[in-house]
Amino acid sequence: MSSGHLSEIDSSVQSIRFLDGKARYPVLFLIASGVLWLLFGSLLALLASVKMHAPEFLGQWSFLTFGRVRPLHLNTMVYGWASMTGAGVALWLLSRTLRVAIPMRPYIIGVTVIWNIALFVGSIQILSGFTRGIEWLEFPVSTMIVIVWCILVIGIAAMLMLFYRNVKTLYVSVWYIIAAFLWLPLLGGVSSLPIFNSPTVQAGMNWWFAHNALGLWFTPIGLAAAYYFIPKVVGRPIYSYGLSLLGFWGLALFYNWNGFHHLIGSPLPTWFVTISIAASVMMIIPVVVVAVNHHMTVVGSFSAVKHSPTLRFVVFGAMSYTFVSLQGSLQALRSTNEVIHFTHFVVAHAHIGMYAFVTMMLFGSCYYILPRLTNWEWQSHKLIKAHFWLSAIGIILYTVPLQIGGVLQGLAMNNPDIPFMDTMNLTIPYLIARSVAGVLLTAGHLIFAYLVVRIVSKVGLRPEAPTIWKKTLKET
Amino acid sequence: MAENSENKKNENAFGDEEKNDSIFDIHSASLREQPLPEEGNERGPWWMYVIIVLTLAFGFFYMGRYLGEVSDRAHVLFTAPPGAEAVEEVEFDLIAEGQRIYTRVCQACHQANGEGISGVFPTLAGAEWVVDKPDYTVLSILNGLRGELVRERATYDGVMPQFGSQLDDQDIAAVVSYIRTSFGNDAGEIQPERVTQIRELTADKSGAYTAETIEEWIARIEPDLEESPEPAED
Amino acid sequence: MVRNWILLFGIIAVFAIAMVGLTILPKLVVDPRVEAVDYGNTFEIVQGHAIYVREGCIYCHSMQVRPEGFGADFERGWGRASEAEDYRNLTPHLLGTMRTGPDLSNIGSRQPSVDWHMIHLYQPRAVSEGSIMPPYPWLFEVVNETARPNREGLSLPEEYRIPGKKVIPTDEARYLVAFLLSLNQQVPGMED
Ligand code: HEC
Ligand code: HEC
Repeated sequence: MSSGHLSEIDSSVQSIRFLDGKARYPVLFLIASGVLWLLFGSLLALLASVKMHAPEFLGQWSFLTFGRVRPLHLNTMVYGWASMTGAGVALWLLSRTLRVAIPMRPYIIGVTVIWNIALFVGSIQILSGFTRGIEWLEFPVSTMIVIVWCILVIGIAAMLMLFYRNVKTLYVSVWYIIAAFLWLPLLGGVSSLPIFNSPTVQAGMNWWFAHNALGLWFTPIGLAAAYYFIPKVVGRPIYSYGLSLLGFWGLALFYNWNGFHHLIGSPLPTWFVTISIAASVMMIIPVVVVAVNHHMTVVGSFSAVKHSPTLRFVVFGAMSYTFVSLQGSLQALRSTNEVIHFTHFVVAHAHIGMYAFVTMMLFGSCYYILPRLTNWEWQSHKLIKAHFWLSAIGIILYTVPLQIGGVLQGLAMNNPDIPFMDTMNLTIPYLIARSVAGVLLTAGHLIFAYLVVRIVSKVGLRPEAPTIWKKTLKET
Repeated sequence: MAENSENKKNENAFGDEEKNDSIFDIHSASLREQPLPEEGNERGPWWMYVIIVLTLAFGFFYMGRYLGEVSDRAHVLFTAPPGAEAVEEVEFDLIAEGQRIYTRVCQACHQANGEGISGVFPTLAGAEWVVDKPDYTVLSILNGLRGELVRERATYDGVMPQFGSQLDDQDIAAVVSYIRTSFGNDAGEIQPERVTQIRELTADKSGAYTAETIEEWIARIEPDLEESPEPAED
Repeated sequence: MVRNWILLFGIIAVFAIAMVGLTILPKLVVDPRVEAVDYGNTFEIVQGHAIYVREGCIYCHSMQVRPEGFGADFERGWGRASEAEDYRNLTPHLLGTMRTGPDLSNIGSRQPSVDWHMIHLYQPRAVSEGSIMPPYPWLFEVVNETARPNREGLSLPEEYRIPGKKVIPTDEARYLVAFLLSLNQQVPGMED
C-alpha cells in the first residue's frame, strides 16, 4: 500500500483509464437513455402544467387528458430519466470506488434495451388509459415487473463488483449504492404482489412504496454521488467516517418507516400513521449528520464551486437534500399536515426532492463522468453555465411560488366560509408561474441533451483542457 | 484513498485484460483529476449531538402522545375531547346559514348569482314563484321538481333532485330565506317550524313534483298551515 | 467478506421489518373488517370505477374525509370521516392526495343529479364558471338532432350547443356517473 514507486502511480493511473474504458458502453448507454426520457418527460410536464390552468388546451383528445399525461410525466421521469441515469452513475461510482471493472457488460446493455422498450410500451399503455391507477405505480404490473427485473440484473452486476472488489475497505458511497440496488427490486417486487387488494391497505402500500422509491433508491444514489464527488473535486477528505456510518444506518432505519405520513387523517388505523410521523421526525438525525459531514468537507473550499460544473450541481443538490428532508419532517407533523395535505405544496416539495436534489446530483455526476467515458471534453463553458442557471432558477421559480400558493390553498380549504371555487381560483397565478418555470427547466434540459450529443459524437476539435470555469484548475 | 492505494495489476475477476494505452492518454487521465482522499475521523460539532438527542426525545414523546390504541380504528385522538372547546352557542343567523347551504348545495346548478343557466337551470333572481309563494321553494327542495317549466325568460325541462333527506328543516328554512332575500329578491324569511309542518303535511307525497302537481299540493296544504309568519305581500 | 454479509444482511433486515410493519400488519388488521361487508356492487359501478381510474380523476380529487376538527372537510359538507369500508372494496384505491377539485367521498348525496354530472363531464365550464377541470368529450357522442330519436341530448347552455346536433352520453359516461352517484355515505351498509 505504501511503497513509493513511480510505477505505482502509473499503474493506478492506468487503472482509472482501464476502469473507465470498461464502463464506457454500459454507462453511456444508460445515461443517454436517461437523457432521452428526460426530454420526453419534460414535454409531458409542460403539457400537464399548462393543462392545469388552461383546461381546454388539447382537451379534445383522450390520450392527452391531464389524468393521463400527469402520471406518465411522473413515471418517465422516475423510471426513465432518474432511474436509468442513476443506475449508470451508480455503476460507474462502484467501479471507481471498488476498483473493479463493470462486469456483465453485454447483459447490462441488453437489459437497458429491454428497459427502454418497457418504458415505451408503458407510455403507450398509460396514454391509452391502460393504467394500474396507483400513484407512482401507474405502469401495469407486467410492465413494472420488467423494469424491476432490469434493475435487478444491473443490481446483480453491482453485487458481483462488491464481492470481487480490489479494495479492502468499503467507501461510504458503496454502502448506499449496494443498499439501493437491494432495496429497489425488493420494493418493486413487494408492491407488485397481488395481496394488497383492499382499498385502504393498498393505499398504505402505495405510499410506503412511493416514499421509499425516493428514499431508498434515488436518495442513496444521490448521496453516494455527493460522498464521492465532493471530496474528489475539492481534494479534501470526507470530514468523518463515523458520521458517514451514522448517516447511513440512520437513513436505513428511519426512512423505511416514513410512508404513512402521506395518509394522515385517512381511514388507516391511526397508530401506523403515528409511527410514520415519528419516524419522519427522526429523519432529522441522519439528515443533519450527513449535512454536517458534507458541509465540513467543503467548508473553506467553496471557491471550487465557482470553477467546477460538477461541484456546483452537486453542492446545489446536497443543500437541497438537507432542505427538503427537514421540510419533510416538518410536513409530517399533524398540525402542519392539516394545512398542506391535499395541496400543491406537496407537489412542490416532491420536486425539491426529485429535481433540486436528485436530478441536480445526476447532472453534476454526468458532467464529471462523461468526459472520462468518451475521452472528450464538454464543448462549451457557457452552455454548461446556462444549463446550471436555467435549472437552478427554474426549480426555485417552480417551488417557492407553488409552496406559497399551496399554503394559501390549504388555509383557505380549512376555512369553511371560503367557497371551494375560491381555493381553486387563488392557486391559478401560482400554476401559471409553474408553467413559466417549466419552460426554463426544459430549456436547460435541451442544452444538456445537446451537450451530451456533442460529447458522445465527439464533433468539433478536442478541447485540450477540462471544461471548467477557470483555466488553472485540475479537476472538473 | 481507495483509488490510490490499489495497485494490483488488473488481473480482474471477470477476465478483463488491461490494454496498454499510449503514455499520453494515461497521463491525461490522471492529470485531470486528483485522488480520492481517505476519510477523516472527526467527531462533529457538539450542537449536532444536541439535535440528535432532542430529535430522539421528541420522536418518542410524539409516539407516546399520539399512538392512541393499537387497534383497527382510524381517526383516534384526532378530535379534541368533548368539552375541550367551549360550546359557545353562536347566535343562529338564518340568512348567513342559508348562504352557506346555498353555496354548498344549490350553487352548482343555480349558480352563485342565482341566475341559473338559461334553458338548463332556472333563474331564482326575481323568479315569480319563489317570491310570491313562500311554500313553493320548500316543496321543490323537499321532493324535487321535474317536467316542463315555462318561465318568463326561458322554458326548462330538467330535473331538480330532492334534498329532503339531506337537509333538515332548519337548513331548508335557512336556504329558502336566503333565496327569498337575495339576488334582488326581497320577500321575507320563513321559519323552520313552517318547514316542519309542510314536511308532515306532504309526508305521503313520493317522487318529484311537476309544475302542475306542485300547484295542486300547495293548494291542498295551504289551508292547513298556520298563518304564514310573514306579512302578506303585494 | 464478513463486512459484505453484515452490510447485506443489515440492509435487508431494516427493509423487511418496516415492510411487515407498514404493509403486512395493516393488511392483517384491516382486511377482515373490509371483507365482512356486502357492498352490492353493480356492473355499472364497477365499470364506472374503472373509467374513473382510466381518466385519472384521482390526480385532482381525493376520496377521504378527514375527521371533524382536523381540517374543515366536515364543515364543507364532504361527509363524515372516512372508514375502511367506504370504498366498496374496489381497487385500485382512490384515496388520492390532491384537492384541486372537491373531495368526492359523498358526491352522490351532495350532487344526485345525473343531468348535472353529464353536463359537467362533457364541459365543466358549462355549469361551473372558471373551473379548471378538464372536459371529457370522448365519453359522449355528437349526433344529428334527428338521429337516435329514443335518446335525449344533454341540455347544454347556449354557448356550448352545436347547431343541428345533440350530445348523447355513451355507456361509459353512464357508468362513470353511476359510480359517482354510488359515492354516498348515507347508503345503508356504508355507514360506520
Ligand atoms: C342538480 C341541479 C340542481 C340543484 C343542485 C338544485 N336545483 Fe333547483 N332546479 C334545478 C332544475 C333543473 C330546476 C327546474 C326543474 C324543472 O324543469 O322542472 C330547478 C328548479 C328550482 C326552483 C323553481 C324555479 C322556478 O322558476 O320555478 C327553485 C325554487 C329551486 N330550483 C331552488 C333550488 C334550491 C333552493 C336548491 C338548493 C337546495 C336547488 N334548487 C338545487 C336544478 C337544481
Ligand atoms: C385538473 C383537475 C381535475 C380533474 C383531472 C378532474 N377534476 Fe373534477 N373538478 C375539478 C375542479 C377544480 C372542480 C371544482 C369546479 C367544478 O365544479 O368544476 C371539480 C369538480 C368536480 C365535481 C363536482 C364536485 C362538487 O362537489 O360539486 C365532480 C363530480 C367531479 N369534479 C368529477 C370528476 C371526475 C369524474 C373526473 C375524472 C373523469 C374529474 N372530476 C377530473 C378538477 C378536476
